[in-house]
Amino acid sequence: MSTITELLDRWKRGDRSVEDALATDIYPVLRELARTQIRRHGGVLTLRATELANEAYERLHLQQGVDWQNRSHFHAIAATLMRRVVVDYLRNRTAEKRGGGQLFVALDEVQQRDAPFQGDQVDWLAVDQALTEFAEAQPDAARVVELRLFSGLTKEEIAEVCGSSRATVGRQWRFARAWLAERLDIVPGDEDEP
Amino acid sequence: MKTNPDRIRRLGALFDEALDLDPLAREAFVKRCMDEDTEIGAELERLVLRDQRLIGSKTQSAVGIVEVSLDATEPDALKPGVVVGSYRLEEEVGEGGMGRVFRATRIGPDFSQEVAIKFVRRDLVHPALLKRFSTERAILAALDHPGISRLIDAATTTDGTPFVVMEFVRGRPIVEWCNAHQLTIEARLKLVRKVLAAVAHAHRNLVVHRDIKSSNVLVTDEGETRLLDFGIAKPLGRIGNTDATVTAERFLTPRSAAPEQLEAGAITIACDIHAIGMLLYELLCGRQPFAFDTMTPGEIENAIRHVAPPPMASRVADADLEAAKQRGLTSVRDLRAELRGDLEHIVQRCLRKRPDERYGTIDQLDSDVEHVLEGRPIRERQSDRWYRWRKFVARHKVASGLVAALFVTILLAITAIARQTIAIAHERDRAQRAVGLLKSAFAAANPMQINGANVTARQVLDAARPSLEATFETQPDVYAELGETLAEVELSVGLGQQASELARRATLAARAAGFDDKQIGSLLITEARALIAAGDYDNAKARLHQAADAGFATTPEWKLVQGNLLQHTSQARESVSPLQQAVDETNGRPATDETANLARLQLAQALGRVNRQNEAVTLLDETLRWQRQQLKPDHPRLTLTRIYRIDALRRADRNNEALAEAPAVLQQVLRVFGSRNSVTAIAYAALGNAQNENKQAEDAAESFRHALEASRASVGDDHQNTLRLAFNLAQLLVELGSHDEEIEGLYRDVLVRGGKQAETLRSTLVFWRISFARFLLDRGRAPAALAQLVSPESTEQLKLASGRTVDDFTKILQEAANACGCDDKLAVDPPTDCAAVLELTKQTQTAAHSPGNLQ
Repeated sequence: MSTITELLDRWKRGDRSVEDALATDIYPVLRELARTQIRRHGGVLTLRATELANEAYERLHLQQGVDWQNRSHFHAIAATLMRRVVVDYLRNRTAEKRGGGQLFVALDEVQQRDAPFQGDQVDWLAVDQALTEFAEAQPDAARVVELRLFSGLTKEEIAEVCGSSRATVGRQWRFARAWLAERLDIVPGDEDEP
Repeated sequence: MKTNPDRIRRLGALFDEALDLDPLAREAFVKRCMDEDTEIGAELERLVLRDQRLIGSKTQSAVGIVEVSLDATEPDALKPGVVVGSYRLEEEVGEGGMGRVFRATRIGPDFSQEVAIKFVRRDLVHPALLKRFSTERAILAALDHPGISRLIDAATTTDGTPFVVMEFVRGRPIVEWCNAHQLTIEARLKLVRKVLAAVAHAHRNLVVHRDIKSSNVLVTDEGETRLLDFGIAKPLGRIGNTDATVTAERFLTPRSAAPEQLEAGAITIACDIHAIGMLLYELLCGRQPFAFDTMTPGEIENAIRHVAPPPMASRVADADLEAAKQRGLTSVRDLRAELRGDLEHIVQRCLRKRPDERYGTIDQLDSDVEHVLEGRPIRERQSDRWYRWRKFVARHKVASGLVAALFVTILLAITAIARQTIAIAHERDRAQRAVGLLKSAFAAANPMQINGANVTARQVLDAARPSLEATFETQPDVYAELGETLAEVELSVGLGQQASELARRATLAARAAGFDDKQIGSLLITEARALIAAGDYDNAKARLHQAADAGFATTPEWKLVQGNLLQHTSQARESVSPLQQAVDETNGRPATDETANLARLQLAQALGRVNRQNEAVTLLDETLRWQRQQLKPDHPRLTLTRIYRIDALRRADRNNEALAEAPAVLQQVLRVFGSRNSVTAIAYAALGNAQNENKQAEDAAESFRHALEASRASVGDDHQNTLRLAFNLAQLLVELGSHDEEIEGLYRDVLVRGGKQAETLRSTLVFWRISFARFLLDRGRAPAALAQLVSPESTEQLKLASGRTVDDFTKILQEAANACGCDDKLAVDPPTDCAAVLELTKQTQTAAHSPGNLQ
């Protein structure tokens, strides 16, 4: 059994401490795949979450013999990593080109459902920041958001991965979505207003 | 103010609480929160508002987002008047996934030459696309065909935007053109053949168009077709660069894409075949296979990849008269009729999800279209039958490989039988075994479930019929066994007429094959059941007698059908005893047993009719318990029992319970059976009756409208159940006192359609006419009422009616005559119909006293 398989197995059983270790193994693969996609699209980052995770899985499977019977759990762990990929990428781009505000990540998997944010432009760095803040208070709901935004999992699969019911996940999603939407409407300067 | 975790948690809890409340209570709740803590309350209010606004929100597709945002960044360098190379842009004529298209003129001595210039969006330029773009020139140069718009030039602008210059085609998209010119189906097919010739030419040059759609197929004023935009054409044989393929798919209009184009599968000529199928579909029936306009990108993708297109005729709505007229037809019905058969087969074959199941070449497709135009049968339909069987298996989730294999075995065997290749003995044995397998396979695909997917089931039955008929002469034994099974299936999908015919032939075959009494008796009972369903009670009675002679009168099957017949002939009281026996004798049978189930439902119905309502409810409660022990909660049989129970509750003065139960049952019915099913019609009618009992007449009328719609869609406009529902709706509306136009339409429809089945309907038809005349009289339209009553049809139908109905008829005839002033000697201008009254009265007097019609 390879290390990744072991780590995934532990993670599946609820051991969150292995996430960093997993990231070390999987993250480079995802990042590289994301970069390939960005190149393909002439600098436009159009991440297809499912596609990336699938590719990553296939690659790991081939290269390292990772055997993971439940793809949805792989997708779930990949979501966390995907979020990092996106954020890292955008941070780098922003550093490279100041105010690189024309970069958008369109997650097509999100678009097919009731997407959280209206409008064409999503500032994913802000989403990431707000989500981190939100996670302090509501870690479970934040996890649901992460899965909804950064994995290709369906609602049912998310419920299964989170070990809760579809209704609960739906409730958590609605609150998080409303809260984030409210939050992201506020430009940073407004934060100190009453 | 900074949000902190505690605050978020607090908000989360309040938000959760607020969601559980109905809107009014929610407002009050938010207000209370505000009173307690202004800030939290206000934030809660904003969150709830956000949530409400976000519910069901739809956003654009990912591709859309990227494009919109990039368009915003690009300065509008391309506009009319701008000179590009040796061309001046005149006007923008279109925008495709790959870029913008302008009409332009050539600068220079010959500036009359009009061209189309297609610019590739710079933001989309990346190596793969650029490479493809440069190959386009070579490809198009190779394509010299009058049906394909010619390539003139290709270059890049000074800032590096690639563009191609093509022959400008003045024309309209083919769908628009055909509708504007009101082309008949035949003329449309002829036009499509021109398109096919151009596409075939491209294919022969190893070019796949990959984006054939109406806006890319223009028709000139001369009626010639031109294929535009080989922009993403790809030379055959150079497939392999999957990266480029995946990228290119982003630019495709998803709704015209083939499934494999969305799955990054191999792009072959099969893509074009699929696209032509989509085009044909819309050209012929006036609609696309799916309601793309109301679907999200995800739904569109799913439909294209996984959902079989519905038959074209079913996409033609009753309101589509315009579409019929655009095809030179006078009614929607005619249009539907034109679309069925070979044309449907051709289109469906183009639209198969699997590329290898579509036409192999454009020439094959063209040849089939030609055959249709010449009225000759189209190519071998073998693969079609395969397809239907496969779909049937899939639909019924007879998922295990074992059962699927079973179907394949059966199919092979049936094909073998049909081809009469089973000359040698052991092959014949195989066929016999197949018969047994088929029976068990049909049993596995529970008839109730078949009903749930009636369209497919009917297709399967239609497909099975020719193979079966081929065995009638040569192998009557096979015919008898298969015929009975198929008849039972047809019966369960509400096709009584077809089932009785099939059962009759099966009986004949059984006699020819020398079957024993037992087998023939069973067939006779099936035939009797089918005859009852078809309304032919006399013959049903005769079959039951024959079955009794064969010693079948003691079986619960016989008693069930006997009870059923008695109920249908208004002898509810007499029907209780045989039905009760059928129930008792099937005690202990499994909950899936057809006879045991039907006996209980029928008995409950009979008890309800003889004022033993409470017993009916008790029986149905017991039945439900029995079913629940063995079946899944949403099993169709359970659902059916629950529908009957709603009716029973209503009759037992427990209408409140009926009303409470009905919506849930209806939901389940809609989920299990869909909206176009005979069971759905029954469920809506049960709800309607309960609502009516509760004085919700408008709601009841609405329910009956749904019931009528479901019945029309499932068993057809002429079916007795449909007519009865229409009559009930008319009566309900009469009680409401409005909707006069709808009422009159319903009555007339019922009488005309019923008139074709006067022999079967007998008194019922006269009863309906009396009801219509009563309505007309009450609305002060005595002459119209009289005209109805003395019409030739009425006179004819009266001869078939029973005594009591004839009495009623005489009364209303007299009333109508009086209201018209027929007896008024002083009337200046009595209606001419008066003359017929006397004649008719004489007839009714004779009829009322003829012994045969006394009841």
